[in-house]
Amino acid sequence: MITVDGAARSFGTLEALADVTLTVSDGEFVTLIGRSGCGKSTLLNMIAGLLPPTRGTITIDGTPVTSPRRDVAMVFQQPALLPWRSVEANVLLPAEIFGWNAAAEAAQLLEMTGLAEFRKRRPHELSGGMQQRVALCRALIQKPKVLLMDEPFSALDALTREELAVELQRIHLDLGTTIVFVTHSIQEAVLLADRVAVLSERPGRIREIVKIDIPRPRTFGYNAHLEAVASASARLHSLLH
Amino acid sequence: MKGLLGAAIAIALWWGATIVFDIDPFYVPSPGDVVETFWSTPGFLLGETWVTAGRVLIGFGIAVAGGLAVAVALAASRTVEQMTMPVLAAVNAVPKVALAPLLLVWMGFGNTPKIVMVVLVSFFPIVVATMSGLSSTPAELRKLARVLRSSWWQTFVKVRLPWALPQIFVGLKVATPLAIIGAVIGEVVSPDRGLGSVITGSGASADTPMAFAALVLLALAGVVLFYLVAAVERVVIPWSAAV
Ligand SMILES: Nc1ncnc2c1ncn2[C@@H]1O[C@H](COP(=O)(O)OP(=O)(O)OP(=O)(O)O)[C@@H](O)[C@H]1O
Ligand SMILES: [Mg+2]
Repeated sequence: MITVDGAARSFGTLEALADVTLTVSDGEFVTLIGRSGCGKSTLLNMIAGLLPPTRGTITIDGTPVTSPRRDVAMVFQQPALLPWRSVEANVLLPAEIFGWNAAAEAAQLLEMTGLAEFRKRRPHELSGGMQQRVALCRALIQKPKVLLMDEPFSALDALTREELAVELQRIHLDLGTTIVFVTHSIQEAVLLADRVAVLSERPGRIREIVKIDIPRPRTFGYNAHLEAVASASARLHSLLH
Repeated sequence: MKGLLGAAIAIALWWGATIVFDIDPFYVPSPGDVVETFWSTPGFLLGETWVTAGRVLIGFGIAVAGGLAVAVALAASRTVEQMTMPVLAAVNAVPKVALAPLLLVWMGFGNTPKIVMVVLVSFFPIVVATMSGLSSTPAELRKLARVLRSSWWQTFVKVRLPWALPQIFVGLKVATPLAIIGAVIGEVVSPDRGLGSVITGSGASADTPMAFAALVLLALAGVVLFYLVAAVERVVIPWSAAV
């Protein structure tokens, strides 16, 4: 469980984030949505232990977060792959740093994300969507309890984005990882989230938390829950404008 | 292949100019005169080439090893790096040629002042290129290393150094012709052996074709060394051409 209790962060005189209180239960999928510059990345970095809050506290499973933890993994907007390593070797990087032997897990993850036949390729031989899948595998090799994702699909084209979002949903259902996911896309937020935390403009605070009560697995486009999707989207839209 | 064609065209132009303008071989000898001179004493010229090449290789080797070591040591700490960068830039701006007469005073004749000259001119481009390569790690990779709590050494070996390699090779390629120039300067200022000494000697005896033959051999040595570095580059960082 992640608890963010009255966390705030300033950079010099700039107040980026003001008093955020949020609890994310085990296995929950929470998306953070808000205008550019409202502090979403700042909040994520604080949960990751990369940035101390200037006020308030953040704990994971009751332990205050003071530095990055092995069971908390991160995926960024850029795949951040090492161009000289093969796909497989990129996925194994965290294991190597931790001193783990995880070759079997890596093979399994690559299989799961449809990358098995590309495992010996270098990143530049892969499409953007495939590169981001590699980054996801690299995060999952940490066997994370918590996965923090900062606009992971923002750099991709619309179709690839939807494909990856659906895939992430499947992975979340399979593994039960707790996920905090930053996005600018209402569609993505509604597809993925158990709850959507809407942040106000800078300094960011939580304007509202919207629960998305649509059964999974969810799909984009026409489906049985068209009305629920439309009303959740409309709600988020009005909160953002 | 295209390189060979370019060289052929350049030689043809040189030859054509000496004929068309009817230049006295005393001033500019034709390629034919130069080749003739070479074949009259091939053993002598190749021997001198070997002497110069040996000085270049030893000096370049020292510069590479020293340059990499110094750059890595400096890049270990951001503060040290920021402190030393201006000093390096200043030292780098000193025309090393101006030191040649001093080296003669300090070290006399023989191999040492020439090798020192090679090291002096080729050391700084390597240090500067390596340092800038080591500090060019993209923000997202630095963030990744922090998320994984990778140690300084792990980050250095697994991320920063490989990332810096393409820039290090740029530095090495800049340094190769400088290394040859350094050796020649050393030999011109305190002539004993080597192609630089041949040039000084043939200048004194007005043997222009001999001087040109030495220049052509120096140019060839430069080309060989450059492609040697490029070949090593292709083996060490095959990924960089594709990225
Ligand atoms: N390291 C930093 N130093 C100074 N200011 C910062 C730093 N990091 C973030 N900020 C500022 O804090 C504010 C919030 O930044 P943050 O990156 O968290 O926003 P965001 O919601 O993620 O925006 P976006 O949607 O554009 O990614 C911005 O005004 C930003 O300029
Ligand atoms: Mg952001």
